[in-house]
Amino acid sequence: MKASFFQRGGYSAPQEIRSTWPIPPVRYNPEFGLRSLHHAIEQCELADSLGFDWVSFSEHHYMTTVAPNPALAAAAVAARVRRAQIAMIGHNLTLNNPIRVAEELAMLDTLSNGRLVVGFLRGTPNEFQVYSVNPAESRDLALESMELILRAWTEPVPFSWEGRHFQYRTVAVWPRPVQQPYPRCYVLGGSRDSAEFAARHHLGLGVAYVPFPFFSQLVTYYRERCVAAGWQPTADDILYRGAVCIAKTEEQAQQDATRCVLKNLNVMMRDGVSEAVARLDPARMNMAKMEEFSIARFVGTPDMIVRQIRECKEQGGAGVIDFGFHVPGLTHDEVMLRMELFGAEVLPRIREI
Amino acid sequence: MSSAPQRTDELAVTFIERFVQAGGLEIRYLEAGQGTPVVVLHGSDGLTSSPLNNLLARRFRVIAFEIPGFGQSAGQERPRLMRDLAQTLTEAGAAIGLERYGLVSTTNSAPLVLWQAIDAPERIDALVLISPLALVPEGRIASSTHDPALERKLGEVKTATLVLLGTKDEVIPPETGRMYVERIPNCYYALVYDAGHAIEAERPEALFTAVRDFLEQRETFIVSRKNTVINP
Amino acid sequence: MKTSFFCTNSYLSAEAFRYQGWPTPPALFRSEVGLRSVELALEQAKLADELGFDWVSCSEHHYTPLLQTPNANVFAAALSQVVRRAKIAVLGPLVSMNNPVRIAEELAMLDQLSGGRLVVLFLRGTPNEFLAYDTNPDETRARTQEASVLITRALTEPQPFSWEGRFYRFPTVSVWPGPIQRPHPPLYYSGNSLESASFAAAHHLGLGVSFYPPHLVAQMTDHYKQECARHGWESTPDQILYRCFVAVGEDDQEAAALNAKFFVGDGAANLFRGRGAAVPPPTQTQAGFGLGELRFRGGPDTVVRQITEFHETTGVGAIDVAFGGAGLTFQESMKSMRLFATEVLPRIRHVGAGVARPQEPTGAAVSA
Repeated sequence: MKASFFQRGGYSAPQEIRSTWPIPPVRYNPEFGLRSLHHAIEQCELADSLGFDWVSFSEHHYMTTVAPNPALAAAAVAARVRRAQIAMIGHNLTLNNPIRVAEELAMLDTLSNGRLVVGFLRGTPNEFQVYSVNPAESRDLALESMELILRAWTEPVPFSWEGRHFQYRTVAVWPRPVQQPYPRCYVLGGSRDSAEFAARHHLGLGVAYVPFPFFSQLVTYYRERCVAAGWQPTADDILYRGAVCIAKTEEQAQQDATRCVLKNLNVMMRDGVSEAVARLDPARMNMAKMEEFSIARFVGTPDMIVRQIRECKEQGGAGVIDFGFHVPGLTHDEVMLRMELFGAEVLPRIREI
Repeated sequence: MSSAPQRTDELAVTFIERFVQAGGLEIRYLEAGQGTPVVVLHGSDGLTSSPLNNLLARRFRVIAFEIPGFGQSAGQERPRLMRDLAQTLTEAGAAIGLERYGLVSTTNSAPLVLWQAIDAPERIDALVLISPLALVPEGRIASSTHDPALERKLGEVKTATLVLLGTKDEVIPPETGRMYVERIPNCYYALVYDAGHAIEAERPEALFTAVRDFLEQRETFIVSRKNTVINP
Repeated sequence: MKTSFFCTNSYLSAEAFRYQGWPTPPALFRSEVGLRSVELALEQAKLADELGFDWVSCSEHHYTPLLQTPNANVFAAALSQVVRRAKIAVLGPLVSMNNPVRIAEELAMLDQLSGGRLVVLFLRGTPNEFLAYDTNPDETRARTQEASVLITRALTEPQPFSWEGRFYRFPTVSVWPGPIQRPHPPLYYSGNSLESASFAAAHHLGLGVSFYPPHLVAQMTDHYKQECARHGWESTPDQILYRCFVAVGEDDQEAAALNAKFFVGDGAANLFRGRGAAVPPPTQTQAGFGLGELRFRGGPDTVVRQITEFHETTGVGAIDVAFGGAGLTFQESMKSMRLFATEVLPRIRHVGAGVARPQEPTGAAVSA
């Protein structure tokens, strides 16, 4: 079992910021912002030294995070973290020019000495408001974007692209990724077409935050599609992303977990969650329920968490878990302590899972 | 994006049936539209009604030849070699009175247009090859239309050429486009997203946009001329 | 005089440069060369920092081994971690063809990552660049202007706002994080024409001029200064930036030998061939645009004199210097750079520094 440290790029302020979206820029304190980035880099360096296999980055806008383009955070961290893989999970495909995404990821592969891992994220409905994208188009847009990115990495000669959402008459990305033909990729999403795309293109599948039974269903579907496409995925092809609340006692961990609900995250973290919730309980899908949805999937003492990780493997076949330690309200030092506890008492025991 | 794309209006254009003598054969063709002439050669389905031709006829004078050996022209004895058949079609164009024209092929009529560009370059403004079956990717079996003599001479094609392939093409892998770029000096290669081998049937407007722009602008079709002003 | 080291991140193998025209087919990219190039580029940047350059810069370019930085902000993020003292100068993002709000977000992140050392030049781009994202060349001037104003606003507005532009519409702009430097990092506008110089002056932006010979630069800078006065402000010398190629030899003779082969292999001229030739150069580009010229060359004494005279003629107070043309080996350009840093830099620092300036961000607050 591989472990990834999800560096969410949170904004470290003495007091938690609660706000409707968007948070006015005037509330941004540059000193805290500077500190936030130092904290982010420190956490990545700690993760590297503790033995996490990857450090990962994700795109969020206009909220209490400091990485609207995670590629910049990844580039900076790649210069400081020399061993762990640099995982871009990832660019929000519906907000971005796919050629530019292909170029940035290729640059990151060269900047990280060939350690890049890629996760294709579709993005969530509220994020679409950032650059004013029509949510109804997002699925088709993301699918076309992924296909164009893969082509842009692999065509040896300049070519044109006549798409539905994108038209480019000259594509000839340079540099190319250094990993050939391209880095390991995962398609993130809780939907059938994500699984289908991944299967068809021999890519991995990534699922975020959903309860394990639903994860299991998705992976089963993905495996079927892979077989139909003529190949068998291994554990390394299956990624799960979830939040961790680790403590010496169960009570302490549960306390942390109650804070890991969507509404406390200022509403933005929804990779596949809304679809997942609807599938699980369509009759009760409403805003109140979603706001109370907890992203904490690994909660408890180290022993309990090791068991939960085993469950994640048994139910969904995950070979990589991307762990987020971002409990709202925790200070940087508190996060580091939890990481150290995890590194000492969980990491060594999950290698052979 | 300013406005939603328009659906194809397939009823708008009426093609007139005509005949011309060339190379000892009577060649049937359909014609519609005005302006710059564009000769379109059909694929293995023969000369049928075509969404692409309908769209092209709003912008160009479209001449769609029925290739000898197909449809109503089936009975005649046609030249055995592709090159000779291409020559006949060039003569047919001349007989109609065409001096310079754009030339479009579909699937296996690609060798015919490539030979015309090699043997009569002064007549051809631009070449467009839609899902061409002239080059065989490695490891594949050559079709009956494959012409090794043509492959050797592709370097002589000076005409600006556009190759279009659908990303879901299961007859020829779309990567084959690169092979044309590597062999033909002034060649461009476009992938049409989410279209199979019969691009025209699935995404006629996208195909029309690329073909129209290339026929009108040739190499400079890569330069965007879109007006993206939202409000003045 | 502020001196900036242009970190080109060039691909370090001649094979890719034998290809005529732009773009270069990606098939010519070799992973091991790509890795080595970026490793050396970052080492060079670190060295420039240690040798005393005031800034280390990079610039956005697409589809070319000459400058492998399609998103200069990503490269600058890496630079921010190896260059600890010098400013991080992005000269610049191509604002004619990118999402301006995203550029603003990236610039704010860079100011954080560098601890408040960012400098930015808003670039329009050479004509071949417009082909990379299918931008209409005829729209690029207006786009560059609108984007520059929007990016500046996005970096400075305290409350969320909407933007109803000609080319951009955003219902909500509310950039987070914001910059460290307040009101914003030093901003420049690329002006290789009188009109651009006027625009820069009107919007309280510094002026960036590239490659022209001194008398033409002087025309633009004189016009810029007049326009600044007309808009009620005075620029400082380091708000006028000049980008150029330089070769320093141990003596004038050695430099002449470097000059002879500096652009062999065509280098930048290749960007205007192949598909790059499909777009004509902008109408505002004047004859005499010296993209292929080695502006300052000679032994150290000669170069000091040339730069001093250049300042006197034009008022330029910041130079962004490239030491490598495609015809020089890596070692040759490094030697030239070291000579410049040790023999020239210390002697040109005082040039143009007539008035003592406090340590404050250059570029006044944006007016409405």
